Amino acid sequence: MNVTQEEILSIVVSTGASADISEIKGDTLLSKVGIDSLEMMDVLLRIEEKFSIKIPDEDIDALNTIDSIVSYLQKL
Amino acid sequence: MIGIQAIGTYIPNGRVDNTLRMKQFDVDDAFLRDKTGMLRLAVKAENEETSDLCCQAFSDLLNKSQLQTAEVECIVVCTQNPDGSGIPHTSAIVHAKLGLPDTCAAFDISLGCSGFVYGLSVIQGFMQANGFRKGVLFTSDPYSKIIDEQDKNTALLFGDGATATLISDSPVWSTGKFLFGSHGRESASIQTDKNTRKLSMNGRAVFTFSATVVPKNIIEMLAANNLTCKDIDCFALHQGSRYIVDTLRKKLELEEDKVPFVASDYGNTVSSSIPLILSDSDSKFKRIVIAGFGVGLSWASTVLYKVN
Repeated sequence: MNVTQEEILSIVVSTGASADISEIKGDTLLSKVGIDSLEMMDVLLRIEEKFSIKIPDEDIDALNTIDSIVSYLQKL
Repeated sequence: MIGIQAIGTYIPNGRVDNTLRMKQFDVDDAFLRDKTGMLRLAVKAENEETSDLCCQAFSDLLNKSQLQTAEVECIVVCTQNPDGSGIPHTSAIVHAKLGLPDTCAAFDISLGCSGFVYGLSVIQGFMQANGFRKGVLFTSDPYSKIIDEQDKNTALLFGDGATATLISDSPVWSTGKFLFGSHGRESASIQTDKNTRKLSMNGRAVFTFSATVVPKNIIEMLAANNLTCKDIDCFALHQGSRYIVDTLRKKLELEEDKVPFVASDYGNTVSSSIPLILSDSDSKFKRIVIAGFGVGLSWASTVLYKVN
């Protein structure tokens, strides 16, 4: 699957997350910039809807940066 | 025509202060205020039973209406945390405690957060089928009985409360078409452990379900009633958390003041959350959407129309 950092970042922004988006780099832990567990559920749901996929619960702990999400999706 | 005449409510005085538990659960003030939304949780007294909460709500209902106990022809109790271990049904105990007539029918229905909406349809159908003029729908599901106090997913959310809704032939609100649904295949997302009886919840599964199924259900239910969101004065959505209520509001593109969140002082009271909103709603409202969703996974919605 062809996915870019910008696409994932725009999904994070679209949730209205309370985090400072300008601080987010590819390898920034999303929890470290204030994206909490509930906002993360919303991010994952929007990714599932946008790419028509289902992300299993056992995979989500590893999806904690923009890079890790992009890498995960690119392998699908 | 029958419909809702009045709603009695009861929130126990006991409280758990979530702001004192932030360190224990590694959350901050903003998370409590803006995400769970539950700053305090109502908790019943140790010796208060599910039926006692119903009786307190009924007492409030008597104060708000002209209802006489002898007039009640049926009662329905919606609970999944009944008195004792479940036999007899809690409605029978309520029947005895309130001194209701021998001719009054009494039965329970087992549903969680969708229970008030389902219950409205059930009791109205039962009353219409039997020509009854006065019945009472109770919601009373004290989750303090089943909460694991160490479980971050649930311990910060649920509070105790009960309501008693008078359905009568002098209604203030009539109901439109209902729309129901179930995802039984996802029922393990909210369940009690068969050994410990403690509650567990897959928060992500419940969020995903709520954020995808509920907006679609509301839009389809409104269409079935020849309405759109613009025709509605208030959306009384189940108060699962502030975040899910906000998410649904944004998905439905609704104005903030049309979607109340009122549970911050007592928590998610399961099937009581919607009637608690309705009992305190603006008398000028002409049409209110009610939508319940949760355990099951189950959902239901309808429109309430003010009766002139």
